[in-house]
Parts: sequence; C-alpha cells; structure tokens
Amino acid sequence: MLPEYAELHCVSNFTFQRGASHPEELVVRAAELGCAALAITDECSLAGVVRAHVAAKQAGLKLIIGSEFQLIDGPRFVLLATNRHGYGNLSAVITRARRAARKGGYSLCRADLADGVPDCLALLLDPDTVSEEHLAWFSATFVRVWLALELLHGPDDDVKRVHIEQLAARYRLPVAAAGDVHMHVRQRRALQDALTAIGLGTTVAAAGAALHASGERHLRAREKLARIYAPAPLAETVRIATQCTFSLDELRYEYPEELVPPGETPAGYLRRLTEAGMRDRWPDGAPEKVQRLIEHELVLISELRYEAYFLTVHDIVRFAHSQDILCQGRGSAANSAVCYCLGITSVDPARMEMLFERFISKERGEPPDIDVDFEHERREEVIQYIYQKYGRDRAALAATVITYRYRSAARDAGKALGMSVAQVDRLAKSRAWWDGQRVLPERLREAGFDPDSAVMQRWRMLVDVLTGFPRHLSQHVGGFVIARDALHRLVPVENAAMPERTVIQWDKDDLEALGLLKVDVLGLGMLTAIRRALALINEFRGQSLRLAAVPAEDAATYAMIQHGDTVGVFQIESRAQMAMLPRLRPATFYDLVIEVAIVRPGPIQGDMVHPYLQRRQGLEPVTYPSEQVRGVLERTLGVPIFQEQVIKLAMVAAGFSAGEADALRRAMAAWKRKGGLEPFEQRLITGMRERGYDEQFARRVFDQIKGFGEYGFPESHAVSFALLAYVSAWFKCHEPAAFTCALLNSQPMGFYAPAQLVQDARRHGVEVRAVNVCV
Amino acid sequence: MSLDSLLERADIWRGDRFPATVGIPTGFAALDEKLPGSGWPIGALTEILLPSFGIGELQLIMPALARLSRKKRWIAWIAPPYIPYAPALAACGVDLSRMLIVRPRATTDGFWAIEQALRSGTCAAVLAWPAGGDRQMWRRLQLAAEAGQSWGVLFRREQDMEPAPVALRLQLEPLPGGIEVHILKRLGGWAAGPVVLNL
Amino acid sequence: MGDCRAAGIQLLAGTNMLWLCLYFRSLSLDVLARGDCSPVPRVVVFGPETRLQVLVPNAAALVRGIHAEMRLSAAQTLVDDLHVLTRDAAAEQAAVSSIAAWCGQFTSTVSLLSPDAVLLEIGASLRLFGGLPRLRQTIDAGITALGYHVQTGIAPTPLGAWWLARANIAEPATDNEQLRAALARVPLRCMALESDVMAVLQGVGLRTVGDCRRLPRDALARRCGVTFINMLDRALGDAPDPRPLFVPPPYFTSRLPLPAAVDDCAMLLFAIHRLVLELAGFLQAREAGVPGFVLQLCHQGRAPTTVAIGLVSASRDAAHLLRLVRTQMERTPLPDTVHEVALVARDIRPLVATATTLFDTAETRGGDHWTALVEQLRARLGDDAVTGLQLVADHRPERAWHYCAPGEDRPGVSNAARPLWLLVEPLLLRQRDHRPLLPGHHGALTLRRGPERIESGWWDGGDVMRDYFAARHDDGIRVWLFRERCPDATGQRRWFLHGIFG
Repeated sequence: MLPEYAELHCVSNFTFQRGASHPEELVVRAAELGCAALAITDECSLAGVVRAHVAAKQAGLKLIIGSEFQLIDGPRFVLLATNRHGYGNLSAVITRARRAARKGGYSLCRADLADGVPDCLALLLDPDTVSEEHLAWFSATFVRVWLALELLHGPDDDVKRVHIEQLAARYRLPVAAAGDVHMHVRQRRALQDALTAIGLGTTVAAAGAALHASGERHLRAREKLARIYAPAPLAETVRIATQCTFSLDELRYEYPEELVPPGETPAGYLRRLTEAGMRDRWPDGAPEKVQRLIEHELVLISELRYEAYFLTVHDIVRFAHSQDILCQGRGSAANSAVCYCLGITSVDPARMEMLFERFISKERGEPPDIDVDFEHERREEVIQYIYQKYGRDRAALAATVITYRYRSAARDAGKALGMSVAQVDRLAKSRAWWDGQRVLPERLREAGFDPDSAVMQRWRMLVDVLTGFPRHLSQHVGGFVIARDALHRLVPVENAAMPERTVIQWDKDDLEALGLLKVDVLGLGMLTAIRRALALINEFRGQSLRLAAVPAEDAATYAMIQHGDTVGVFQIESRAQMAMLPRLRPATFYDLVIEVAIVRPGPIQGDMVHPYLQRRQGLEPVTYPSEQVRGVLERTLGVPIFQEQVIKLAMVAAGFSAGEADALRRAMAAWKRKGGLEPFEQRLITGMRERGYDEQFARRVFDQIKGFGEYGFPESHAVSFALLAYVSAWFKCHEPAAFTCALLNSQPMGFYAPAQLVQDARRHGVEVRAVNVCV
Repeated sequence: MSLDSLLERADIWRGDRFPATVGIPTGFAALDEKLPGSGWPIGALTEILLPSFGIGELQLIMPALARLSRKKRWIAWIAPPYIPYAPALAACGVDLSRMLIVRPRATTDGFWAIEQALRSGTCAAVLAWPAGGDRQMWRRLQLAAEAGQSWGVLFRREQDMEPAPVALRLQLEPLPGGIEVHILKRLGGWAAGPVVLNL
Repeated sequence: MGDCRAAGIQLLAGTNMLWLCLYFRSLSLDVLARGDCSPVPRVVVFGPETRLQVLVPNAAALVRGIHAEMRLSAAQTLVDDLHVLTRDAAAEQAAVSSIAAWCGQFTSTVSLLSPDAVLLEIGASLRLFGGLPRLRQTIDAGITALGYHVQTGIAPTPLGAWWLARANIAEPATDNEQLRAALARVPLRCMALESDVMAVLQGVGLRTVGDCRRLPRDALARRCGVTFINMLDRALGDAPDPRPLFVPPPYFTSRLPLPAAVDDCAMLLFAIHRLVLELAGFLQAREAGVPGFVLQLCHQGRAPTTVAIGLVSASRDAAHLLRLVRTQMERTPLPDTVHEVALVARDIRPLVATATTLFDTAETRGGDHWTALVEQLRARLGDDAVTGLQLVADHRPERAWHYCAPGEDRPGVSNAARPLWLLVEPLLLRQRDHRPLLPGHHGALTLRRGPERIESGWWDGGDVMRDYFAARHDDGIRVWLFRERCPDATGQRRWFLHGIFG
C-alpha cells in the first residue's frame, strides 16, 4: 500500500531563474504520481497559479495555492491558503512585500507579519538551521505551524531528521514531509543549473556551490518517499491538504456592483439600456431578425451572469462619448447586437452575419472578451477615468509574461555554457524567421558551429526547453482588470518598471481563465486622425458631421480604392494592399471586409488568395461540395478567409461541437509556438470523410487552417476595421486637405512618413503652403 | 629524613618525571597527560605505527595541525599515500594556505625531502610516510628535526621493519568508535598504558 | 645608475674626482682560461698561421720559460703538452662589457678604456664602501673571483689611473701632487703611445713620464704633436678629460668558454660560479633581482643542454642562486662534454633588499624562508612535485580541490562529512550480492552514513551521478564509497572506493 502524499513546497518557472518546469508540467506529473494534492508555492508570487489551476482541473488533481518567502530578518517558510479569506490575506502579504521593493524583488520582515496571516497554514523550511529566536517567533506568530522535513539525500540527512524531530518535540509542533521541488522530473537538472547561473550572471562552471548538488529536487514517486520517510510526516502532508479547500474558481463573478442603480437588477438595467440603444440605432424600429437576436443575447447573458461586462464597458464608452473621444469595439464583441445597441461597436447586425457564439458560448464557460479601440492620443484620459471611478486599489493593468524567445534563449544558454560574446551573438542571429520553433542543424553549420559537438548539443537542449519559459512580468498595454473588492486580495500587485506604475501578477489569459472582469483599452491612431478630420471639416464647413453619418457605399470612394490610390487609408495603404486592390476591385462594403482580411500572411500561406481572385474574376467555377459548406463559404466564394468560417466548417462539415471548434481555433492561433495541431488534423479529416467529403477537400481545408496560424482574421474584426477603412477612404476622397492635415497632426501612426503624405496630397491637388512660424 | 624529602633531592632522578620541554598540545587531554611536555615533541621525531592507513591516524594529529596552521606555521606532507583532501582539512580547521605537499618520484628523493623540510626551520610539522630506511637515514632525520626545531611525524605500517630512533613511538589499533593508542616509547619515561580516543 | 640611455653623455672632469682603473693585462688569456683553474701551461697565440707567436703565456707556461712574442714553435719545444688557445677578440670585448656592468655596483660612473681597461669614478663611493683601501680590496677580490688578472691604479684623472695601473703602481695617488710624483716613475710604454711618437721620445733619451715633463712644452709639441701635449695635460689634471658613460645592457648574458671540454659536474660548477658572480654584480648594480635564469651548456656538434633555474621570488643572492644551480645540475644528465657555458637572464626585476627583523621569531623565520625551502625542493624534485592545496567550488568530490602554488589563499566552503584522504582515482570494487568488498581485507563492510547523492558536472563532459556512503570495515578502516546511479553495460551498478577517513 503506497502512502498518500501531498507535495507542499514546489516552485514553478514563475519563480524566475529558479524553477525549471512550467506549472502545467508540475501538475500533470503530480497527477501521474497519484499525489493527493500539489501546492504551487512560487517565491512571493502567484503568477503561475492560474495555469496550474486550469491544468489541475483537466488532470483531476487538487491544487493548493501558496507562496514561499524569505524574511529579511527571519526564516524561510511557505504559506498555504485554506479558504477565500486566507487567499486574500496571502495575496495581500505578497502585494505588501512586492510593493516595498524594486521591480523583480520583494522585501518582507517580521514586523510586516506581526498580526500573523489568518486562514493560512505556515510551513517552516530548514528548521534545523533556524535560530532559536526565529523559531520561537515563527511558532508564536502563526496559528497553525508545521516544521518541514526535506530529505533530499544530502550529506547529513540522518542528523537533520533527528534534529528536526527533537525541535518538534520541544516546541510541540508537527512535522510534514516536503520536497523543495524545483522541477517536475530529474531530467530538468541541467536546465535548473543553467537557470541558477543565468540568475547569478555567471556560467554554470563558475556557479560552484550555488548549484544544487543533485537532481533530487523533483516530484518524487511515492514508493521512493515511503523508503525515505516514516509514515507520520507523509500522512501529515495529507492532513494539511485536507484543510486547504480554496479553489481559484471561487474568484469568479466578483464583478463591480456599483454600475447598477439602486433598486434595479443588473439584467433589468442592461435590458433598459439596450432598448434605449435600439431606439437610437433604429428610430423606425429594429428589424425582426435583429430583435430576435437581441432577445437571444440578453437571455444568454443573464443565464451566464455576464451583465457586469457589458455594463462596465458601456460606462467606459459612455464616458468617452461624453468627452468626444472616438472609440470603436473590435474583435469578437463585434458579433454582438447588444454591443451595437449599447454603442460599444459599430457593426450593424442588420447588415452582418452575426456569430454570437463566437463571442459568448455556454460551453466555453468563458466570460466575454470586449476590446475597445480609443483615439491613441486620448487613451490615457480613459485610463485615468477607470482609475478614478474604481480607485487604484480596485483597477489595474494586467501583466504580460515576457517569455524566452529563440534569441534570448540562445543568448542566455550560450552565456551559461561559457561561450564568448561573439559566439553567442552569432548563435542568436543564426535562425531564419521561417525555421519554426526548432533550431536547424544546417543553420548552425552556416554560422560556423558543429551541431553535433558536445557543447552544441548541450546548448541545443537548453535552448529547446528554455524557449517559452517566462522571464519576467511586464505591464500590458491596455488590459484592465476591475475587481469588486480590493484588488490586492484578488491577485497580488507588484511594482512595474516605470515609477508610480503597478501591475498585477496575472496576464490576460489568466484573467480570462478565471472569469475575472477584464477590459482591453487600446489605442488606435486612425481614430485620432478621424476625429481631427471631422473637427476640421465641421469647423471649415460649419457642419456637425458625425462618424456614423458618413455616407455609406459612396461610388467615388470605391473607385478611388479600386485604383489603389490609398495612401493614408486605414488598413489598405500598404504596398501589398495597393497591389491587391486593382485585382480584387472592392465595390461594396463586404468586399472591403474581405480585402482587409485577405492580404495577410495567414491567407497567403494558406493559399486562399489566388483561388478567391480567380473565382471573383470568373476564371474559376465556384463549387461547394455540400449545402452546409455553401452556407458557410458562399459570401467568400467558397474560400475560407475568416476564422469564424473555419470554425463553422469544422462544425458543419466535420461534426465538431462548438467547444471542440473553439479549441481548434485556439490551437490554430498557437501552433507555431507550441505545436499541437496534429490531433485536430486527424479529427477534422476523419470527420469530413465520414460526412462524405473527399480526402482532397479535407486536406485542402486542413492546410488552409495551418496556413491561417495566428494570422487568420476574425470576420467581426475585419468588419470593424473595414468600417474605419471606408471612413478614412471617404475623407481622402472628398476632403483630402482636412484628411491629410488630420493625419499629419496625429503622427506617429500609419504606414507612411509625413513627407510621403504631403507628397501624396499634392498629387491630389491639395495646395500645400510653406511652413509659417509665428514668433 | 623522610622518603618524600629524599625523593625531592635534585640529584635523584625519578623515572616518571619528564624533562621540562614544552610540546604541541595534541587536542586530546587523555593523551597529553601521558606525553612528556604534554604534547607532541618539538625538535624530534614521532613515529606512529599502524596496521593499515586510514584507521584514524590523521584525525589523531589533526587538532595539532589545525592549531599550527592557524598560527601561520607551515605543514609539509612528504609523499602522502593518498591525496590530502582539502575540503576535509578545511572542515577540521586547517588553514590550507600553509600546506606544502611534496610528491617526489624516487624514494631516495623522499628521504632527502623529509630532511630538507625538517632542517629548514620553516615547517612546524613535517608529516612523512617513509618507505624503507636505515639507521643512518633516521639519525640524519633526527638531527635535521633538532636543527630546524620541527615536529616530524613518521607514519609506518607495522610490517615495515627496522624501528627508527625516535623520541616518541605510538602504535594505533582501531576500535569501533575510535582508536586505541599504545605508547611504546617516550622520552624520559617508560612505555605507558594505552589511551582510548573516540574520534 | 647606468640608466643614462642617451649615448654620448659625457662627464666633465672636475674637482674631487678619484678614478680607479682596472687594467686586464692578460685579458686574452683570462677570457679563454678562467673557466678552469688547473695548472696547465697555456698560451694564447696570434699572427699568421705560418708564423704564430705567443701573445700571452699563463703562469705555468712562464715558469717553464715561455714569454710573450716567442715563436710558438719555439715555445712548443720547451713544453710538449702546451695548451694552445686562439685569440678571441669578440669574447674579449664582451668580457670587458660584462665587467663594466659588474662594476656598476660600486659606482654609477663607469667608462670603458679600450681594449682592456675599465675606469670607475669612485670619489662618491668611498664612504659607502668603507674607505678607499676597503673598496679597492673588495673590487680586487671580486674581479679575481670572476677569474681575471687585474692591475689597479688610482688617480685623480682617468689617464693617470690608467698609466699607474699599467705600470702596476699600487699606491693610490689621491691628489695631483701625488699623481705627479707617481707618474715620474711610470715608464713610457705604459702611455700606450703611437710607435712613431714613441720612437721620437726614446730617440731623445726619455724613459719615463716624469722625463717628458721636464722638457719644454713647445719643443715637445713640435716634435710629438699637439695631441701628445694634450694627453699629458689631461693625465696630469691640467685639462679636463670627459669620458663617455658606459651603459649596461638591459638584460644579462655572459659566455664562458672552457679551455678543455669538461663533463665533470664539479668543474662545471666552478665555471658557472664565475658566471653567477657576474650576474649578482650586474643585478646589484641595478638594485634588481631575477626570478629565474637559463644556463646553456654547449656541446660540440649537437644542440646545447639548457638548464632553467626558477625561483619562487626574485633574488640576487649569489650563494643562494648557486645552491639552486648545484641542486638542479645534480639531476641534469649531460649527453656529452661541455666546451662552453653561458648564462642568460632576461627577466630583470627591481628588488629592494629586505631589512632583517630585530626579532627573528619562528613565525618570521617561517615567513621569509619558506620560499627558499620551496625553491630548494623544486630544484631537485621538479616544480609540480611541490605544491599547495586549494578548495574549488564544485560538487564533484574529485574536483572540489586542486594542487596550487604553495601559499595561495582562496576562501571556500568546507564540508564536514568528507574523508581526510582521497584516492587519486576511484577504485572499482568487486561485489557480492550487490555489496561491495574491500580488496586486501577480509571481512564485511558496514554502510554507516548515506546515501549522499551527487549529480553534477554535465556542462564539461564530466557528469557524475553517484550515491556516496561512509562505511566501516571489520578491520577498523573507515572508507568513503560511492555507487553509480546508472547501471553499466552488464546491468550492474558499480561500487567504487573514493576516500579513506584518516
């Protein structure tokens, strides 16, 4: 009978330059070993716990949230959260420690913990090396205390064990086994050594005693543990685990509540606003189709309890409108009629094919992801509004995890192995962008290295594993998280690189995974330019033209576009676009939507462009292998160009469920970095064959999907952008002077330099006067 | 005239009294008591006989070595049978910067090196593992030790014949927890009873 | 001190100068024969091959009746086994330079007087060296030790000193009065005159310098030339006589040809001794020392044997250096007889003599003399046989230490659980039932402490993965073993002995 065991002391690679395994790897391994539970206890950090949480749910493993600390004037220990309250306290401690130091460090002393950390369990590390004074303090400060017994085949394990048992008897404290885990398997030893060297800024050869003496600090099998430990310390770990019942799922639905006026419910308030918006958009009454759509959305939103998202974003957009800041929702939110009614997006559901499930789906269980573009010069005002409304202790920017890419991994691995600066430089530059994720031997030979030499093999091994490892946290550009209560009790907050800026320890994916309210406040240069243009025109002509009132489907504008005369026009001004425009000849709004989406590496690599053009020009017949496929691909002449089409294809032609199709979408976005499209390949082709599609068609579709990679455009996104493209083209066509002036005043933005914009204006007959400097 | 007052007279030599030279404290009180000068003899040779190397003979002299090296005195090891392991020496409190390790290739060079080290006066302790040797050799070494006022230690396995003329001869026997030290010869006294040391 | 690099810096003769001239009367012979002190009759010859004449006979030859300018054939009839040496003018020149450099230890004002004399201005050195008689004696003894026969003259003028030296007039003339008196007795030939001038003077019946002075100046000038008058004036102190300063070379090199090929160590050392003394003087002159030098023993028809002498710290102590040479020579095999010895020292370092301490305690004794002991040992045993110990920060036990230069200090981590003895190479042990057996010992090994797991070193190809145990054998010996973590080709995990708890 194997003893039960819970590993309570474990760092992931989110303890930078120390942990040698991803949180997911640790979770999977712990599950394989049959651990009763795993605690991820990164040093003064919770940055990796969400990933661990997601992986743990999938693997069916119990996850405990904790963190390791080294006091300035005290011992080293681990705190484990037992419930939501304890978790909040833990997060608060981490926040306090991180805010007291420069970015990347933390500072915690005994005085900071004078009141203990309620609802957290405390595990004292290396108790045999701790002074009497510290031990006494520790025992007195924390309510539930254990002494950690970490037997790692060190030089004096027996002596240590006896000593700790004596301490336990003297202070009447229980002893719990732990593993000081730094990696999920022993084989990561080399990488762990390299990380130590990188952290010290030296080579592995010179790191000396700083390296661990063996690879024993990994998740060990229970048979092994049974041989090393007596039953009592092992059983104690399970006792501890049982007391920890907190799960990150409990953080869901902690949305800000003040948006709803007193006396109303969130659902009721949302409905009221939506209906008001409907009347605004369709003064003559909304079409039947739209009304049904809105109803469907409101019901789903209410069921999933996502009202807060819409209300929060609506409030921000309302503020922007009140300040005459142009803004536009983008991304999957453009699939929502409610968003259109609330003024968040400008994609008219009456005219577009809506795929609301792309935005919110019951199956995905994920909250909506609403990104809004604001004028880039005035974005800061919006950010300040958010801080002011919710307070700096409830709103914060999400983090971005800066990971090792090939170059940085090549450099750090080379330096750790003692290569010269020149060699390291050559290695870092030796990869061509089309090589994918592996380092090709030919590339190394070209750079003058022997790929099979011992040192190069070691280097390649390190680079392979190191790529994708987190290096440090940085502040995200515009991703905000807004909490119902104090933010630092939800997630730890630390100092960012810039003074007076803070960042939370989770990134956008983490926030999404936990269902926390996140809003992306992005900046778009073209919105600034458009507003400026509108202001100039209105002033000059004494009008009050609004963005929404720019005449639609203007033939002159489309003519100009078809000639490729698009310098300064949003999204279609690049050389590649200008080359495509005379061939594709967009004549309607939807053509513009396709134009915006099709000139991208995704469709190009997936070989969609040529067939589309052929079919459009009537040089190729347009056929559909089935009616379902026609339904999906008709509007793009049978060629999948948008992400949504691919998802829909997978569903109707290969029988994917909505959830599976969404998983495919995610895999498509990430496969170049992480790989992993193979299982989908099988499923897709088999599914299609089962439904009677031929092998060749199935293969074609799959290749197109691969080509998409992360560059495939969502349709809704293309629509939002096409709107701006059209508007900016209209300005260029009808008010070139105002437009150019606006562009120049909004620099830097766009594809062209001011000089080129001026030149183009002249070509269009705009009189450009000399600079007039008033002194 | 009582026996006591008779025994106090200066012209009567008592067999159990030691001459008033000062030795290097061994670090083991039980052993110091039995040694003339309460320690290892300076300016003379100490011979330590063993059944085989590695039963605790180094640990026996380690406290004295540590003390000498901390006083910035040099310690020479002539032809040690194995590598004196620096981490262990350092852990015993020995200052490694005062260690001199001499590894001659030829045996004859070995004796020459021991003699030089003893005579030079630079080394407070000279540890040697001599192979072979005749009376003349030992005599020269003894003179060298006197001239340089060094403490010479000769480690020899029991099967090596030809006992050397030395000031102190010990024989060590291993015990489960340490060693048993038999004092076979000491200057100014007869052989004394064994001392058990726990190492 | 010999640091005036610019050639042509002249020294004006002035008041209070006192010149000592070293005149090497048998330079040609000394240069070739000083490496050997045996009383063999020797001559140096010169002239065309068919009419060789004796230039200089040595003492042993003189005694047998050979004198200068005798025909060689005649000399050889007097002495059968006469040792004949051919004159080596280049060696003579080099020798004079060497001597001049050696003289630098007494004064910074040295000048060459071609072809066989060296001038020293010693006026400023008298007090430092304990007065004139003592200084003269020191110099004389030193030159003799170098192997040269010398005659010394002391006068207030360079020429005066030279003439006195050539005349072998030992009493010093410390002022111009005394000089005039002494020069009165100096024969004409000591003035090293041109033959025609000599003929004129002799023709008029003059025999000594004093005689010359009694003649009226203008008459002398008319007959012998202005140069002659000028020379007299300078010699007598009536005119200044600036002399070019000798500049010693930046490094030391000196050759000593052996009159007869030698393979006897003692005789070689005799010759080398001379060279070492020269080196010591050269170094003393520059207040420098050498951390090492090279001896070259030249053989006929094969490459020379090179003997490199290295020191732990720079020195110029001749006795010490010679001791080291002796020790090293004793273990240097000579493939053939040696006909010439050379000494080259290129690394010259400033060296200030250390003051001796008032209290010469055991500590200071140890402190200063340990380098001497190390050098001594190294000279005989080789450099890598004499080392110190140093800790290295590495988890692999065999790499946690290394031999280093004695006395090097580096802090490090020490581990209490390590054995005092480490084996040079881990010893593979036989096993029975997976338990290790100690060779040469009957009985069982009991594992006491362990396993201590060490897995490290993957980055330099020396990855170890071992479990270490402390074990005690029934015989009492306590050992340090390890077991490899990976099974070998036969599927067994091997046991090794790595250390002994001493």
